[in-house]
Amino acid sequence: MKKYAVVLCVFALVAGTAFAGGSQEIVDDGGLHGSLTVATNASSPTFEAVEHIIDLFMEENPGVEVEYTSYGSDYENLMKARMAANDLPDVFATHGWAVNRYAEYLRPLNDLSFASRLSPSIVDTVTTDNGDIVAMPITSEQSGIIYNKTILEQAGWDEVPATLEEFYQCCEDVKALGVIPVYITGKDTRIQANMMDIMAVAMLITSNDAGDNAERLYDGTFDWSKWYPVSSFITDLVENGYTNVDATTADPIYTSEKLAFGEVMFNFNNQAMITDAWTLNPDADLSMMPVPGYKEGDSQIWIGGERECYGIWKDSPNMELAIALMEFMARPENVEYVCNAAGMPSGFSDVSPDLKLAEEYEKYSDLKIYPYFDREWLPSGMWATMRTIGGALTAGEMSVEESCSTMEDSYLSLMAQQ
Amino acid sequence: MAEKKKSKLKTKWNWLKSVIAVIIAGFFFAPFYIILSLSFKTRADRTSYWLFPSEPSFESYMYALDRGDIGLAIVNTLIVTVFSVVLILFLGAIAAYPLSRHKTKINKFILSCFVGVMMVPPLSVLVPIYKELVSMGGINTFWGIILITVTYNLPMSVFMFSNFISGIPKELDEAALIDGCSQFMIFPRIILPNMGPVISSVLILTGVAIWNDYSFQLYVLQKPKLKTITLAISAFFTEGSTNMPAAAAATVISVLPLAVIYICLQKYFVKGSMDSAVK
Amino acid sequence: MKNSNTDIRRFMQSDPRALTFLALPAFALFIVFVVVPIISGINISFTNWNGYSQEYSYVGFDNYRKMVSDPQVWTAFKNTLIYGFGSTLVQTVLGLAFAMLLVNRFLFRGFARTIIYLPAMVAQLIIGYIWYFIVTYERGALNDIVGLFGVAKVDWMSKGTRAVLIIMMINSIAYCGKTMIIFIAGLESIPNMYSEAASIDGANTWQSFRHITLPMLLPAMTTSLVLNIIGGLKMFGLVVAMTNGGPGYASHSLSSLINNLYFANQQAGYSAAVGMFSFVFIVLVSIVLRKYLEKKEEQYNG
Repeated sequence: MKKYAVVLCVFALVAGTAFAGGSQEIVDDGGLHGSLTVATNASSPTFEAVEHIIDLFMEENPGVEVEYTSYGSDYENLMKARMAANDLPDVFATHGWAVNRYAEYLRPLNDLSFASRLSPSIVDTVTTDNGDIVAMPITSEQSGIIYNKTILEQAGWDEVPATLEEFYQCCEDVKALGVIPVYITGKDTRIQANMMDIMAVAMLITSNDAGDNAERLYDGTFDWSKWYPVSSFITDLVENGYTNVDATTADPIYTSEKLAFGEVMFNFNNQAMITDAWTLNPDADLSMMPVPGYKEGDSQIWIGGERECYGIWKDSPNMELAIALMEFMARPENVEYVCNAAGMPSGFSDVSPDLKLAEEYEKYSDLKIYPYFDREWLPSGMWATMRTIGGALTAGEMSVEESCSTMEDSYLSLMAQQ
Repeated sequence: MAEKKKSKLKTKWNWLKSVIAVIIAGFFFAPFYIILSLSFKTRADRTSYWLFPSEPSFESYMYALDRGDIGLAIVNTLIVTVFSVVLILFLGAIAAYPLSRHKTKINKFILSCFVGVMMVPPLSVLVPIYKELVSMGGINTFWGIILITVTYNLPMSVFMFSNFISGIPKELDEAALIDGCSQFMIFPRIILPNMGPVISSVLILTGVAIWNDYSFQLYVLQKPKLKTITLAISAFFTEGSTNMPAAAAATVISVLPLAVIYICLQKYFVKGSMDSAVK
Repeated sequence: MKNSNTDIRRFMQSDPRALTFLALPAFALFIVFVVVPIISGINISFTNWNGYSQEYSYVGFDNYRKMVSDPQVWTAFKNTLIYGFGSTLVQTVLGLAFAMLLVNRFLFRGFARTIIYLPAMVAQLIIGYIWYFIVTYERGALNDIVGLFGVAKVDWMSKGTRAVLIIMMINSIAYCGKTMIIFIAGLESIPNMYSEAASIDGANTWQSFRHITLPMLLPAMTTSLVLNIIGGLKMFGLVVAMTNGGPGYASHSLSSLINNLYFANQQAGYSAAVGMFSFVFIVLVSIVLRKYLEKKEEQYNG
């Protein structure tokens, strides 16, 4: 009997700790009170930087408790489940999907004081068709291709390749040095999708012979055989041996070390990857180059959009607090702090952080910034199709023609859903 | 003389058996050796996975305990696991008793429903369950995760308990009934005292499954204060940068309690599997 | 009134049907968290829902029709069969061999038992990641060993069929400890007198194994078969950690495909349809298994 008593006691004790809810005393001093949940997928160092800003906010408003969490690579799945249940965090990161995925759940921010300060090149990417600004980009992205300056020199190039042809030539020269020209981590097919997403803009939108592709993509009459060069970009790299041998199976966890220790020339990722590589090897001679033009005479371009970007859930029960937090985060010194920590350009026109890559961006400052292909010219849901064909193309399990018709099928069915 | 010879032969064989057993164990331990050596490396260390670092670094362990909050995660995981397992054992045992003792049509139906649950891939019903829990207010609560966990682990305990109870002679029940024992008292008086071994094996099997659950915990326990071990480990995997040594260190820390419990319960565990499997 | 009260009391006292009430709490959980979500899943499978919006429309049997001609689903189905039945076979053979070796007492027996069981105690995703480090191309532990013999590095997971077989083997290795424990239990329950009698009758080791040990192990065998087949058919974490379904979609299991369709492809309706298919399939397998189990049980008791 004694034994049972002991078991019962232990059980009661654990139960007590498990279900004890803290009751908070509310003191009314005229300030803000309550608690707020903020969710993101940011990783180090952006996460720590935003966390710091939020700590400052709590210092300024002692009555407010903010719970800031990163869900890393599970974030998107979790947010989808939460949207389905219409139960979202008060403030959450929109990671490039503010308009196409989250808009339905976001509160327009046009009336907030920082709305007019958002940088004009970015604000469109967070504005819906009705003109609602639905998210606040703290950092923005200005991406092209990550490359290693030292290897570029060793391969005998003074300038980064400006056209696709030059890019292939550069790969050939780099390969001759015994360095992997393009590093693909195809275990997570996001990388191939990203490569096509970037190249598709140069090939189908900004090229001089793009014609009316953009309009046709919007109205559903696009001729998908024109996708051929985009898919070929992947197969060309693989077939010419310009990629790592394990392009289909390498895990993205290896990307930063490969970049950090100068074992690869090009990688299609954003600045955050360079920042991470620098934590492993501060001397890594890495930089970012614009996307080469498709044909001779086509201009190079940057791909960009919002990066660490937050929106407010339109049904948030803590609206007042959420707005206060957003206004606080938007203060120039706070935006600058996050941008510097992350090594990313800002989303505000009045904040220009001190970037390690500033020289590079300065050099190509006259180039235009375009959004990612799928975010602007494809219906939501095509990203997954691009991942599927990207993986299959790398593995040689799908021909370029098949990939075009897969894109077409998926495009037509998603357009029909809209 | 013959006896002696036989035992000598046996010792000789035992010696060989020991060698084979150690070789097999070595093979099975290799993956754990890799994770151990990885956990003592720094992120920039790119030596072969087989090489133990010459200067083991405890940085990852500090990082895992500090940033990853593994200590808190272990407490949370313990809460979820202990409560779920107790409920699973209790509900499973009292359900298994009638279902296996009286094979009426309705009992047979209920039993096959339970076994059917073992077949449901939890991922295919995850979002409906999530919506249901939201409407019940069960998100970010221990009771929410415990209810779901219990539901999806109960079938295994019902399955093993009912196999076990089928093996206890029915005559015992009948004798007790004749002695004036209420049929509801037969279970605690006659059946339960015999169930020690099978309880310990269900305890291990479900305990391990719950300790390592990921999908349900990810969706139900979203607050950092509620995170469990698997969630803490997965937090080291992010799109931009993945801290593998820290993930490895967190794994090592999280497996230790289980290994200790297993070694303590091993004796009973084997006996329990025997009785439920062999009837 | 009084009469019906005594009826109830008698019913509760001695009618075995009353005992079924004991199963009610468990059954209630089953209804709330299994039946209701499944019904909702069936409902979703007839829509074009993207998995997060509040808006969607019904599309009839479109999703089911699409499934029939979708190579992804058939590949995943084929792989699931390999993961389920292939691993069960390997696990049973390995588990039985280890059990035979480790059933009697000798030096290091307990140690070996513990180590062999160890992988079964670690989360599948983690086991998968550890093995990923072993079979990966770059700095892979297996390639390091192969390199010692002067063989060129191999990208083990780059071919679909090979990747599927490797995942199947890893699943078997990771969980053969469970099978071993069940078999050890079975072996320990065989009375010594049987094998002694056999050896007096002049039966050799193989004969006594074939005609005495194996039949006596049948119940243990069926238990482990049920657990292993279900475990293999529901495999998810290993696939995600080892290949993420790749190359292409060649190594997806039904579970990992369902997850991928739902969250990555935003085809919740279609994913639910595949989910229903996989559920029905696993239930069918379980019915056949249970029939087999019951038949064996009768044989054994009779």
